[in-house]
Amino acid sequence: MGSVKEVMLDLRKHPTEKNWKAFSSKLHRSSIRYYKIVFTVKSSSKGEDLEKSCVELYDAGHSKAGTVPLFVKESGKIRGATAYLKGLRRYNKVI
Amino acid sequence: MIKQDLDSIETKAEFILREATSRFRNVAALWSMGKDSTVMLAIARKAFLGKVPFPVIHIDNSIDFPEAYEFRDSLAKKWRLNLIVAESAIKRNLIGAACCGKNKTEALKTVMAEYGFDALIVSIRRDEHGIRAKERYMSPRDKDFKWDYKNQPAELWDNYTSKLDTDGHVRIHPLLDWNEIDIWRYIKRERIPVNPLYFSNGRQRYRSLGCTHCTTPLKSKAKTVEGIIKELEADKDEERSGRSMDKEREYVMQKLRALGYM
Repeated sequence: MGSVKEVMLDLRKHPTEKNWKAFSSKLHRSSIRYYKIVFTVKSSSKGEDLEKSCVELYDAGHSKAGTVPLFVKESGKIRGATAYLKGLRRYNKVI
Repeated sequence: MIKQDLDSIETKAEFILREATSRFRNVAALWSMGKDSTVMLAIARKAFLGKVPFPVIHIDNSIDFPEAYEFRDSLAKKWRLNLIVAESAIKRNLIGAACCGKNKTEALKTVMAEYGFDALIVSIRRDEHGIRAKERYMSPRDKDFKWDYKNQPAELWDNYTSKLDTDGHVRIHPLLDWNEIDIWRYIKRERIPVNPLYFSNGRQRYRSLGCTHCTTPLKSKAKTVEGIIKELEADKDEERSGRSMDKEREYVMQKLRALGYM
């Protein structure tokens, strides 16, 4: 199992449950503290929007640490993945 | 916003919860990790000597906020809840209220059938939405979860309907006559833990919590329960104005609810 960045790269290519679990186990030992969910398209269909969404991750200093998808895709089925981000807090930098 | 006597409404909620557990064979409660359903669980703990004597169902659509999942797991452990997580699929081509309603209702039907629940405690309040104002404290649903809102049982004084004529179930609404500010005043008085998303992160907070897709925050600096109460005392906006499904026309929402959707 590689670094957080390597695991994030795997996750972006293949957002399987196995990769999400690997990412989640690395997350809490990393410097990542905040998340920001970005729906690049916000239609009225949650299912359609999910694949076009991503999560931006930030460290304690509010510097961007990378992005991951918002979904788990397994056997053609898609579901959300926010449970794997437990422990993170909503991005709160006041501009 | 009118502030009610907390002891009176608490006593009534306890009474309704105790009635539900004594009249029905197999009771469960819905828990969204929101402030209302968490208050309901806190009242249940008071009513039943420190424990929640019925299973608690979370309908998980997999895109709740990470803070909500964390809050769920920590409170379920702390309060020793019998937690059932019912997974709700996210289907494509469903829009608006039907997306939330249909997906969640299907998950709920599955878990109700699996466990054989005949009563379901739901923490809605009349002041949240016009359709919810039509509910009864004990409100029957048929086997397809359909709600005959035009033919509801009368609830005179403290007499509630608990007899089922069909193979359906009864919805129990112990917080029906509470309002939003009562909930927060009760949270403050009883020191009930709540999802941290209700508090401002410096510029925004959530007044009502749904999933990450359908909920938008409002501008607020209220970082404490006291701050939220002060804000509510001054505010004229509706509580659920940040929830996209509530922006559907009222008639559509009523129709969906009557057809058995959440």
